[in-house]
Amino acid sequence: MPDHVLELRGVRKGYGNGAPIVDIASFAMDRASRMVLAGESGSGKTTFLNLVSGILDPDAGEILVDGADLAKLSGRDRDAYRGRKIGFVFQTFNLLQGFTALDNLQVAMMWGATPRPERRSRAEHLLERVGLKEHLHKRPSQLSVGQQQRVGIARALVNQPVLVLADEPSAQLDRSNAERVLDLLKEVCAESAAALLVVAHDALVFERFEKVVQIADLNRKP
Amino acid sequence: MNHFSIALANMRQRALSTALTMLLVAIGVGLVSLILTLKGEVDAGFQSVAGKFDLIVGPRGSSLQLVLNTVFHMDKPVGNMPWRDYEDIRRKKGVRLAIPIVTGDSYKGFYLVGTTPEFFTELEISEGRKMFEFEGGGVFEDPRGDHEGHDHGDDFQAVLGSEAARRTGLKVGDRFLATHGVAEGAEGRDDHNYRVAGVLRPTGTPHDRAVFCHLNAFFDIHDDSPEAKAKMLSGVLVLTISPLWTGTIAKSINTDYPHLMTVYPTFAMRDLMGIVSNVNQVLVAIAFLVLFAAGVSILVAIYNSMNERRREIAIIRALGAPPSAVFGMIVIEASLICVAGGLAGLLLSRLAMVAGGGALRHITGLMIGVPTPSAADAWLLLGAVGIGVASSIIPAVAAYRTDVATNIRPVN
Repeated sequence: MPDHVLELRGVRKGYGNGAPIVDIASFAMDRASRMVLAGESGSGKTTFLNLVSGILDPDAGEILVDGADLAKLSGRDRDAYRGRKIGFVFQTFNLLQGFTALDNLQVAMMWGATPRPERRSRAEHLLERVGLKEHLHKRPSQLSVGQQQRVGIARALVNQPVLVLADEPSAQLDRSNAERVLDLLKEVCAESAAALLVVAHDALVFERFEKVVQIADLNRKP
Repeated sequence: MNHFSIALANMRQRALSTALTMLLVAIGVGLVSLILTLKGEVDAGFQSVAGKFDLIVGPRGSSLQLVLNTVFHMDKPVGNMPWRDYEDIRRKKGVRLAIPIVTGDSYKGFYLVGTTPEFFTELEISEGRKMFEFEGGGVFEDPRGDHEGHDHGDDFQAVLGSEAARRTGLKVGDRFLATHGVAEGAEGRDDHNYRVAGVLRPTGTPHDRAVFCHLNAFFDIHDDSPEAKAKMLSGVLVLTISPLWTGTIAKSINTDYPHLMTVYPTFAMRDLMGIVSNVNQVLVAIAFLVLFAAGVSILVAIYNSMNERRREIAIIRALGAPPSAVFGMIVIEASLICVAGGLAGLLLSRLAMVAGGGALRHITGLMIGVPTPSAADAWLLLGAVGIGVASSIIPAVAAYRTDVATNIRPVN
């Protein structure tokens, strides 16, 4: 088992003919660690997350998640690898609107490694863990924004990933909800031994994490 | 949770659009099924009634008209044939049964058919099973007396088909005045009336819509006309002792009686169905056009929803689904719409047959049964699914190509 859950070597990504928006010589994240990647809007945070999750291909370099080089995986294998190894928490929750909270987790498990008979009980357990025991069968539109993000957190962890990527997870929430969600995210990731990489530009987030890295500091200077 | 449940959830989410598309599929499948089933049932009904006789002999003219008039109690008589020809035909070698038929009168729109008691006692629906059973009463008697010389005087008796009895309200023992001619509102005759001797059980054939009387009653009531004096017939229904004899007898009649013609009723019906078939083909083509429109509607409905779906597709892809999975989901959704619409269409066609069966019976006398599910239904359903799958390919490809990074971005 590699020490680093995430490793980037000479990764470069740009759009059009302009300068690359991500140009990282080296970056690594330890297993079960947590970190905030900070930066202003347009600084390349989301591109970084899309690269790390294999949604975008880098123009150059290697991205290793749990020891596997994403570039060397076929498209289908990369999708499957993402489903098993990476959990996502989105700024706007990105829950499937036609599905209940429980269904949202079970959909995510369709491409994970959890055996079919165990899926429902695992989904129920996680939703109970994030305090939504009474809301298993509610659709996103029937939940508050804080509850929706808690569903998002449970969904991110449902496949027991090694890495959770959270893109501005508290940006849509009021302060008290944001604090509760961030604490919960840290707790459940720690319980699952999943590394947590949060992308944010909000001071509230920085306060609650020990390690904050500016994306500008990661990028090579022109 | 599986691909089907995701497709079902998507359908629920767009319930109105899904329901309307399903309705269009149901109309298309229902129309095709209705037209094909109805044609099959009517074909089978006509053939089964006409097929009870090996030959029909009548005056030269339209063979179809002869069959329609003597067997289906429709249309006017082709003309007249002399009684003595019937006597000759009856005695021909190979003839098992020859039943004379005379038409031309009616009662409240129901054809009055003059014939002999053999029509009721000898005809069989299958080996050993009589075609006619009586709900009440029995066969009419000869007004000129029976074999033992009993004279029944002026008592003209009639047997009513079940539908004729039901619609006229006549019961055994009731009397009615026949009408000269077969057109609605034809002139009534007041010189003789008929007494109902028997009412038949339903047979699901045009005979249910007829009123039968003895041939002699028919002649006696017209005793002032030259046709009655000469005992002229509309036709003769012939059953042979073996199908091998049918051709020989037909050839012999055609040779010996130049003023007569012989008709194979099943062939005449086949010709009739051939004419109807052209109209049928047009109707089937229209129904298939509706199905095609349903296919286009599926394409449009799913494709138009792609804008709102792209985000969901991107989410599912981010969760680990490969592009082929989202492609499959769209195809499954279209297939489910077609299966549900198709099943509804088959059910609708059956309901339409139940609802329209009465009208068809009124026109043709044929009782149309509601068919049980058949291989044709399965093929039709499969065809509908094929159209659904074909029309889902374009939106499915769009789903396959959905860019995850672009569509998963936060929205305000």
